[in-house]
Amino acid sequence: MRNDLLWTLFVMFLPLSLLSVGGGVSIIAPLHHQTVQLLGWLTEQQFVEVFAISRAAPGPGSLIVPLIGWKVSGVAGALVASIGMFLPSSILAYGVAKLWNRYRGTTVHAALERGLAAVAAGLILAGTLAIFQAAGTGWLAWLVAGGSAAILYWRNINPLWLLFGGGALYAIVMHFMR
Amino acid sequence: MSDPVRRPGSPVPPLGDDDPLDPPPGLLELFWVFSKIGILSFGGALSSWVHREISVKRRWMTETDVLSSLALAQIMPGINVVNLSLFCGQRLRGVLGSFVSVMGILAAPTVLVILISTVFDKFSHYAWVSDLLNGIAAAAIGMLIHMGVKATQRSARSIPIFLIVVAIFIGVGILKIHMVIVVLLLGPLAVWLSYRAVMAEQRAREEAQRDA
Repeated sequence: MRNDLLWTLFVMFLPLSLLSVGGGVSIIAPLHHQTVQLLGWLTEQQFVEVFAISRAAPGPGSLIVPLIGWKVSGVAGALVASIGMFLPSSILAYGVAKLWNRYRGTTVHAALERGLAAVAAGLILAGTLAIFQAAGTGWLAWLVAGGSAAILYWRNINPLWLLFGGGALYAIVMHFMR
Repeated sequence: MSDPVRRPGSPVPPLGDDDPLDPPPGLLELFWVFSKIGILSFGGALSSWVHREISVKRRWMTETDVLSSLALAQIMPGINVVNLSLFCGQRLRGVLGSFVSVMGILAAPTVLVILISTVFDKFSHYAWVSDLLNGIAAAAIGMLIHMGVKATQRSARSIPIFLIVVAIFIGVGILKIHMVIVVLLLGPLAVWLSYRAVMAEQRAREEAQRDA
């Protein structure tokens, strides 16, 4: 019974691993569909909570995967879910990384590297916009984000100061606006 | 060697791709750095932490190297920052490097997220907790904006490439076209322009050598 559960967990994450192009956000909808609607492992409320926790905690947002595994089947569940989610895509990525570094030093590699760096620049900036729109936050969030970016641009300080400074500022301002 | 980047509080001077790199780290150090990123990255912005730790604070890889790895990490299946860690680990220490980097970015934060889930109920209904988290997330977006600006400065070496960066931003960020489609359309153009630039630089170098 328990092995069946672990197997289901594993098989559920395998395809998600290879279909999750574009990052963690793309796995949330299918994950919700499977765990809440199809299998009934989590209630709607529990899923929302698990999602919120994985956002609030440090580390990749994709830690929702081991967290669901943990809720379903403890330590073994967390491990199995992680292996299912991260191993297949990592094997593929390893192959690409190896190929990528084999041609280092060639003109084509140098051109690809520069071209892809420009692609990354556009994608990073687009990503910030997407996160903002998903969060649906107001002027204060823009102010904290813009201020943090400006400080980092001109001063080499540890970003942790900005994270907690930004968090404190946000909480204080919101407290007085309520 | 005086390297003002490492002194906290100082202005941030740009380091070029031609600036010397540090020797690659040992496996333990690699694991530690990625664990640190996993544990400290409140609010997200992990790729920004990787960029900072690997190519700014330490000089293990050039910025262009990290950024191009990030682009590959994003268009491949899998979680972006896991792929990015794997790419950096592979580049620095081969197969074991990629293993310890991925374990670093995942293991400690996984334990942490499970611990947090056991106490989350007690705190989640306080308004100030969610305000604090929103503020942290906003500052983390600030880190990403900063990284995006630095990446644009680093990579947009000509006006056409700058326009491609802008086009990718508009296509993915505003028009919401799927990232893979935009990258497949504009990526080759960026690479072709870069290829011509690299060739021109090589020719210039050769001519300089001949003249000398």
